[in-house]
Amino acid sequence: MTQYNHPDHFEQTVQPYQQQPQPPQQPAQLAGQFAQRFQLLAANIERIIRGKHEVIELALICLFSEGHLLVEDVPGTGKTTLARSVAASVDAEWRRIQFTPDLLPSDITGVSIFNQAHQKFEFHHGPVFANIVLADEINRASPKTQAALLEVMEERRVTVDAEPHPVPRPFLVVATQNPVDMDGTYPLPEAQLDRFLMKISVGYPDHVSEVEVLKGMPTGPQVERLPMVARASDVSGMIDFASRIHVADPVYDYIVAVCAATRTSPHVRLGASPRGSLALLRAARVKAAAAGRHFVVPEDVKALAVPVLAHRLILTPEAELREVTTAAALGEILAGMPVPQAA
Amino acid sequence: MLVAAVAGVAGWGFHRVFPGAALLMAVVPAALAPPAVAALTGRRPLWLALAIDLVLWFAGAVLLYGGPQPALFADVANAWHALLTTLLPAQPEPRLLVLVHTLVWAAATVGAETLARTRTRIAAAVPALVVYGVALLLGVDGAGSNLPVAAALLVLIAALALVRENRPAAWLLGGVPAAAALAALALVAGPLLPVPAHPYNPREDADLPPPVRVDSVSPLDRVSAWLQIPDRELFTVKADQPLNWRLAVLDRYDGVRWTSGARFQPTGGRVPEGEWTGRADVVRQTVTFGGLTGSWLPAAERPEEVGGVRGLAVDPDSGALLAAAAPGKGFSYEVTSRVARPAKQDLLDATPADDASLTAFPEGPQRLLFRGLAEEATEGVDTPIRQAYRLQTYLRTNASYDVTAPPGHSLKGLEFFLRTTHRGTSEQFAATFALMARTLGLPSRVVVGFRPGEKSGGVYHVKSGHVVAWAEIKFEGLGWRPFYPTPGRSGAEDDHEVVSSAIEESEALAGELSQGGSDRPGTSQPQPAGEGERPPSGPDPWLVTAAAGGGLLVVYAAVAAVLPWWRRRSRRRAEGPGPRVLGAWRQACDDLGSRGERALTAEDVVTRHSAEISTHLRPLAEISNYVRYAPDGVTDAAATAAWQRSDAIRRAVRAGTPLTTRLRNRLLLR
Repeated sequence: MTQYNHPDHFEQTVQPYQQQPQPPQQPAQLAGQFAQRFQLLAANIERIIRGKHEVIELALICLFSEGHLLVEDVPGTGKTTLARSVAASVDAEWRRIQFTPDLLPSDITGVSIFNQAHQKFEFHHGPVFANIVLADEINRASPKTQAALLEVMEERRVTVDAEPHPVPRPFLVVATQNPVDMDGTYPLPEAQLDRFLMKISVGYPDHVSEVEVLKGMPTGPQVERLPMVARASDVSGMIDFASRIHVADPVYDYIVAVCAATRTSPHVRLGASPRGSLALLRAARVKAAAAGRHFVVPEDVKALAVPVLAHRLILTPEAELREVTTAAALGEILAGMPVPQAA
Repeated sequence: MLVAAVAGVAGWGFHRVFPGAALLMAVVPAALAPPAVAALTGRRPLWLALAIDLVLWFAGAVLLYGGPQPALFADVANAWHALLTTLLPAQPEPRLLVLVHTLVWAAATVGAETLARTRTRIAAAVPALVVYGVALLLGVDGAGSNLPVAAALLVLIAALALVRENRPAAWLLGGVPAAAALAALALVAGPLLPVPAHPYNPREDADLPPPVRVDSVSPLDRVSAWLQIPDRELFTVKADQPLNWRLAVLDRYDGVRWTSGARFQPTGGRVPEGEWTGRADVVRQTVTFGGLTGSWLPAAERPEEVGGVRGLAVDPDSGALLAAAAPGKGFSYEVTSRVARPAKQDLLDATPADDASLTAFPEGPQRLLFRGLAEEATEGVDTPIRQAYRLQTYLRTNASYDVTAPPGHSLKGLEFFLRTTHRGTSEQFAATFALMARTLGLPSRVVVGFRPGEKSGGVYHVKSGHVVAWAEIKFEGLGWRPFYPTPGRSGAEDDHEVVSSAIEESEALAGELSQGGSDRPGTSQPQPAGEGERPPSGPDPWLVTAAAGGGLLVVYAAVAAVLPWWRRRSRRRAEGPGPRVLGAWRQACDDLGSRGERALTAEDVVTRHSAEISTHLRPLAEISNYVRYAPDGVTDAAATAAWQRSDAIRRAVRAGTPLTTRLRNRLLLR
């Protein structure tokens, strides 16, 4: 993957094969620049989050897809640090909201307060008005408070007293939840889960990475000292570019076929919605651009199918009894799904 | 579905052995079940699929028998020999059909599992072809043709080779009609192939069952007894012309008794044709048993088709019929017989057959007596047919018919008949004629039967008094010809038309021979074949089989050698750089053994292989992905580079694969 992802490599291997003269050289070059910046960002974050290149890449794909990320893992594995590192690398404003049972919706979105001096209500922005919002232990808040995130995650604005207040761009919600200590928690409803582009798990670092983390303390790299490698405006431009990445018809078919197969799988009670297909497409476009390509290939779709779709599926009771996971059900679908041939 | 059809059609090749719907019961479940099991078990272990198949085979066999059969496995093992010793068509008994059931099941199982677990297509049809070959061998002398079955097999195998998920429908739309046209051509050209007129018949090499003594009392011993009570109705025959009804054929004589040396074989109704294949009358009879006892079944000479008898057995040499169980009163069956009507010239040219067992004479002093009398009767005549007629005339004129004469046909009894009484029944006349003929070197036997009987309402009522024995002599090409040495009851005229007409015919023929001026000596040279007889011609069957097998192998080897080359060449010369790049990728996948794994992406294929191969494979995968999914095209240089990568991969694979493995892959068309 390293060799393939390198933008120079892509330019060296693919560009000579393009027919001459061909204006579409520009997308290829832009894709190369996209990949360069993407890898720069990933390398920057990896200075803090050791040995988790794939997780970092997924988080960045979320960022450039304008999606949101749900990280489910045990405490201490770097969920919060990941969000902070992303924010620090792109020079973006970031806020952390610790979700508790007594948290109110207005504590997230903000509130209108009457200003005696101006004799009018003024909106006081809540912590959600930031580029990167870390919703820590989201499942500890009440469903009403969780629902407060729904509008802003989907429509990227908060409406208070019939007045919309847009959130800044880029906007990424990184929510975390602890799968172990489930007492007093409110599992996220399906509608809310569907609004997260991906659900990932950071996982423990491997031995070598953990040793490096220990060696780096307390003088090693810290989030506060992480250099900014991309401006927020750069990120917006990259988002726009990724949304224009070419997708061939067979790849559209492949995405739809994979999602449709989740609806007919014997293990799955509720399959992926069309929102899932759209999410997979957006993410695949970013992954293609991150690889320096200006077109999506089935490998992009296949690699992202599990993180993008797995949390949207609900298994049948029989499958749960047999301890089949949504990832395994998806793996089975992908293993039997023919990859599209030539267009 | 196609595997089931191929196995089923191959099983239908047994239609020459088992005509009728009973064969379907054996073929259809055995052909359908294994492919269904293969489809359902999919990627589960092979042993599981085979275990389920075995259970279904057993269930199919139980269905065939109509219940559990303890001797099932013994029947499967013995069915081969039973079929080889059965005259076709065979009775559709479960103990025989179970062999077809087992063969079709095995073909369907091996074919379906081969198809489900490997990428080979044609190999899945090989077991069915083997079954078809067995059906051809076992049904070689059965009625009907297997050409339509062969044509159907050809079309189905072509469809099996062409139907693939990733192949456009045009392949099937074009390939199957082409195969159908080829099959039609084969149907037309098949009969013109230079195959032997008499193909190899494994029944000729099978060990036939030993001669069995059918009844405790020889029918010849019963002649006198029947004549003592002449009015007992034995059976009736509904036929459109009067004929002598043959009951038993006795061709062995030990000095005391005439017995049958017949080797009876089970049959479903067909009787092999006799030696005479020329002009003949076809007579249909419906025989209904009355007071006749024993297992012999009366019929006019010579039966060719019998219907309505379960457990029918037939002696292919004599055409004598036998029922497995003695029929009771009212038992009825239909027989179609051919009554030979040879031309005069055929009779005149007839030479006696060369068979020592049919000219054997028991040791004893009577031999001189019989020979002396025979030479006296045939003095001055050395033509075989005329010698026979002289003997017939001699006995008819020098002895008289008397139902009160002492019974028996031992040598001493016949000596007493010849020297002293000169009176006897057809028992003595026929036995004496046969023995005298043997002393002259004429192969002879005795037949016990009945005269046509009394006609009433279109039905001949045959009574015990109608019993008659006559002698027959075997001639080359003619087969057995009857002679009636028994005089009529009055001593001058016979009282029934069949014998009378035979006598008249023989006397006319004898006169014609005399007017010819000379008795032409008998010749042992082969005579011209009779009408309808085809002389054996064509090459040796083993040679044809070996040549056909060798030809098939050569064709297969040629296809195995040429197909990969042709495929690579067409990919390399595809129209446009894009298709050429994709051709290079597919060629690399073929060389790496990844063909048909359609769920793999290019990256999946790359990560499967070693660094040495990935060095070339990864750039090739990138170019191939570019051609497939990028909005822009590629140049000829890209196609050239792709094929350079593909060729490098091919060289690396060849270098890392042992020669034997490469050869095996090539032969299996991988």
